[in-house]
Amino acid sequence: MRLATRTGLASFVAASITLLAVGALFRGYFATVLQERVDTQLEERAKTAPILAAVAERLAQSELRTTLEGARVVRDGETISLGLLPADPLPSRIVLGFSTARASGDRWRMYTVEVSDVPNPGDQALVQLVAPLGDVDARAMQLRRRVIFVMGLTSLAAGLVGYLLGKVATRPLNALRRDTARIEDAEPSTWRVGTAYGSNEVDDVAATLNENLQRLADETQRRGAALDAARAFASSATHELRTPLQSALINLDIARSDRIAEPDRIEVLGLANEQLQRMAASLSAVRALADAEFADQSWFDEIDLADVADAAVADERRRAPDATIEIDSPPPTTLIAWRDGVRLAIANLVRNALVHGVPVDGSAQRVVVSVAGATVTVDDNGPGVAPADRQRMLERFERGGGSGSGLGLAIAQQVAIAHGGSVVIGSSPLGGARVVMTLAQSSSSSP
Amino acid sequence: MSAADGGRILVVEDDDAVRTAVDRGLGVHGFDVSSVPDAESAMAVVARRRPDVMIVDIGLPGMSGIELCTRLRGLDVDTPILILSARDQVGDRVAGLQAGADDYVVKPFSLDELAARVHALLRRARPHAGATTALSAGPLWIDLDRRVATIGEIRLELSRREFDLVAVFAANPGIVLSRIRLLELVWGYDFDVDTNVVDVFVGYVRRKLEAAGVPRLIETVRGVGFVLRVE
Repeated sequence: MRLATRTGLASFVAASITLLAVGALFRGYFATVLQERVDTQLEERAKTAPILAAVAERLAQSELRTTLEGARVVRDGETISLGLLPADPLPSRIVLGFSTARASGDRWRMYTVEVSDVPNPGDQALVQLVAPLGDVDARAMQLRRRVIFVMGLTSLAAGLVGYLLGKVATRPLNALRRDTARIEDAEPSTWRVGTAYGSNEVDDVAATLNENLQRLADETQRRGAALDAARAFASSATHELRTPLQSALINLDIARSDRIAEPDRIEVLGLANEQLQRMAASLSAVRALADAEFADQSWFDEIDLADVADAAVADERRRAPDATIEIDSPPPTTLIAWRDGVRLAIANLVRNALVHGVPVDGSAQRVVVSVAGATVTVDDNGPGVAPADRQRMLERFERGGGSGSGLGLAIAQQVAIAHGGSVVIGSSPLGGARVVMTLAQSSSSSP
Repeated sequence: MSAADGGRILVVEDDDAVRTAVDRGLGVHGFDVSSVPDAESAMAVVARRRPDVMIVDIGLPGMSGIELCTRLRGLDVDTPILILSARDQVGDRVAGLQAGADDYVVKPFSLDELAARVHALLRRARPHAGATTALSAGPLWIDLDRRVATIGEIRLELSRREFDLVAVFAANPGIVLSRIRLLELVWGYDFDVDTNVVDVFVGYVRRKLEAAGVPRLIETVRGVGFVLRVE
């Protein structure tokens, strides 16, 4: 049931009860007043009781008999009826004072007095004066009908007013309800109801609602963004794996054919091998990236960053024996970190420098790794990265035109993020690119 | 198979390794292959000398493979086009077929499969010599010479492959045609092939027939294939 209907009904019931009580009281009072007037008249008439008693017999025989007001006179056990009396008999037992009786469908009021010495000394008689209450009762009944009619109308009016007031009072609530309904199929960013509905209670509810909606919208958007990122990543990763697989498959098909010359077959097999290795590298890179993204706190322990960097550089020297990789041998630097992740990140930074840091003028390539505090810096003397491209280079599958997986810098960045740090690309004093990986700020120098 | 059998193939693929491999592979199969890395170069090649079959990767940088199909068909180039698509590019693939491509191959594919489809498309591309020049089935009237299909006064706007499909149905009224039979008759695939291209094209043709006021002319016979209903 709507709130306005409730207030309407409540007003109707309240008005009905009040008016019923007032009406009943008023009608009772009115009936009493009317009857008291009759009684007063009867008492007035009682003053003539001795005369009536004296002339009762004669009056009963005169023509005046029917025009008189009703009375009964009892004398010597004989009752003389005079004037206007009911057709049906009144009670035969006569009581002194006031009494009421029902006869011929109406009520009758009676007042009885005792008179003595009339008409002869020593006589005793009872004189009863009778007045009809029919008029009084009819007027009371009429009044009652009027009261009920007016009461009904008034109650209905009260109900209507209550309904309208209720509508006005619930207008803020209804406005809020409409705003809330609108949210259902709206964009999360627009999930908001108003702030001023013209009622403090409703405004409080709206404020609470807005807070919760904001939280919900934020959460929905965060999840949506995470899902989009995951989808984009899955799609890119699939593409990265499918493309080398596709060319390897075709090259193997060609190699199987009996229509190609032996040197061609060897070349094609070499290509297929290269492409499968590219796939394998992409697979481990994707795996490393996923690991870095979900890095667990239990993987973290105390490491010597200089030592880890040294080991990573030694690995890369083995992989690329012709390259010159220098390391700025620093004092031991201990911090709480994810050892394998940091080592992989440094390895990727070095590999990145080896691939992209080839000097354009043909001079010897130099890659320098330096460790300071919780920061690892890798410099090269290659062509460098234009400032506009620096941020983009950190994104996944952004390969700077080389043959890498396009994930190296993304892995380093993800590892840095796992430590609460970051990766920044800049210009190196050597002339090429400088990549600075900062790990946690919570580093501590060794004693 | 000798090189004389092969037709001129144009490969449009952006990935160097894949393009080189397809180029070399189809060459080994006796085709005369040229390849370009983007749609713009493909347009230029087609303008100079029309290839017999085109192999187009969907995800090209710049102008996409779909757009290339649309442009070529818009220029009345009816060279059969085979789309290369990834498994997760279903929507793109359908858009490509709608844009006028004839079939698609899902990556990663084998060279033999690709070569077989190219052969089939080449066979179909050559105009079929037949005694009949006109067909009619139910409300459908087909002029094979002018390649026009009409229903009453309405001319159906059909792509080349859609026209071939309608013509095959019209030539076999009331006969249930299996998917394999349709692949053979319309696409020339007389080998086992994994594709739902028949269903896709029957869908397109049905929509066009419905727009011309004859819904349910081609009915599905569940588990068997399709049939052109004539009363």
